[in-house]
Amino acid sequence: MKDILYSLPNVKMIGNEELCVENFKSIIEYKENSLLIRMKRNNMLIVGQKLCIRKYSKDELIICGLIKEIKYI
Amino acid sequence: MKSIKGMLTIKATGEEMERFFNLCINKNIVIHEIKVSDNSTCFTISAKDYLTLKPVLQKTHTRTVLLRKSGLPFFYLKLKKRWMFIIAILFCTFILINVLSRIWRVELSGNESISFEQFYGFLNTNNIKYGTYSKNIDYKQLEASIREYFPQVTWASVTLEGTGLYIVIKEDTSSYKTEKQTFENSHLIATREGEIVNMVVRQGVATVNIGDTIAPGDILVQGNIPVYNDDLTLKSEILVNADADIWVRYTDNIHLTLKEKYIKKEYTQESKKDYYIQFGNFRIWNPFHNTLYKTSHSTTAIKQFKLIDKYYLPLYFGVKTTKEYIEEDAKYTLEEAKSILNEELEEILTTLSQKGVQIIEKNVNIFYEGKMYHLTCELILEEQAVSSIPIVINGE
Repeated sequence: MKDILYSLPNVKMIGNEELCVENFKSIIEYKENSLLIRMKRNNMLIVGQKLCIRKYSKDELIICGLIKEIKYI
Repeated sequence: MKSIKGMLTIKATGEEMERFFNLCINKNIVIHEIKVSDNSTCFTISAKDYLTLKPVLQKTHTRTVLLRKSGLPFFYLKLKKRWMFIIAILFCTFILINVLSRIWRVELSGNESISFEQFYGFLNTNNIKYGTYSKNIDYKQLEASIREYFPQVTWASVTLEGTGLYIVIKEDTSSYKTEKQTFENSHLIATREGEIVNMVVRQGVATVNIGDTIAPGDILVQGNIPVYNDDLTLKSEILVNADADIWVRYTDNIHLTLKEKYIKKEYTQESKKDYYIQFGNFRIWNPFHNTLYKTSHSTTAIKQFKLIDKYYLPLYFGVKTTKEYIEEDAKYTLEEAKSILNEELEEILTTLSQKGVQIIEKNVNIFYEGKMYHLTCELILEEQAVSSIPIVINGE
């Protein structure tokens, strides 16, 4: 509820292999080892290996690969 | 869902790939499996969305190459080009369904006196042959028909498993005794010559006693019971169906002969195997087979192909093994002759026992005479040698 009211990112992670992000705006930069996502308030940096985007739609972004770090910058 | 819609795998190159993807999702285009490599990016989108990509591609100066088409719409287009292939698949499916809905194997078990040939003859008269549609068979009706056609069958079960018809029967071996004909009113008469050793009369008037010697046709139990007046004059006659168990003891002789000389089959080491494939009644032999033995003995092993368990097909593989032998004149020794003749005698006695004849005594003598071995067997037998005949009333 809070994520909808304040437009906070909703992040769900399964192990370190899959990450599902909601309430994002767009992709700023996408490389094999990093992914920078623009959120409503700040940006999120995901660092890992062999990162790939399984699904990219207006509502959700599903990232898979070996995820090492998630940072808000 | 993806495979129903039809998906395209695209390789894209450009400087503003992130912008390209963001513009795509603003147009409500869903992108799958985005993978970046050194110079290019691969992704998958639906075929419908691909048609709306043109303005986005122009705006972001992105170039695309189509790598793969997948999903039902593209599969359908592929099939459209190979219509002969589709017809062949449909035809094969039709043939397969047709073949699997028929009977291609009949197995009978539990039979003792009924031979397979007899039983298959019965099935033929009931229009059940190899290749009959299984849905045309009324199993309950067939079970009833078996019991009716073969009186010795007390229980029958017919089941269909796959393309096989499995019949299990149970026979009442004690009912080998000749069936007594039943009439409304009848006498019991003797069917063979002998001495009465035991009798139990249930209905009728016995005309013989234990110890009496009887001849075929003699009335043993009368079916007309006389009713007398007080002055012992005949008042009337009550007609009944005479019923009794009468055991008759008689003697019988069996004479078996065996020629001393016979042709012995001396098998050589030569043998050949021929292979064939049989479809229905059509047999294809190995074209290179040639077994030209002067005298030979063949055995054939047949294997029926099956699709899966119990789903047999009308396709057989046969191996015919032919062994060469040389005919030689030989003579039986007394021991050999004894063994052969005794075996033959045992077979005859077993048949008699199955028919309800009791063997009381047997004297067997084997001797050699006139270039032949002879077996003589004097038997004392007991059986219920009676049958019913209808009562003929004067004036009828």
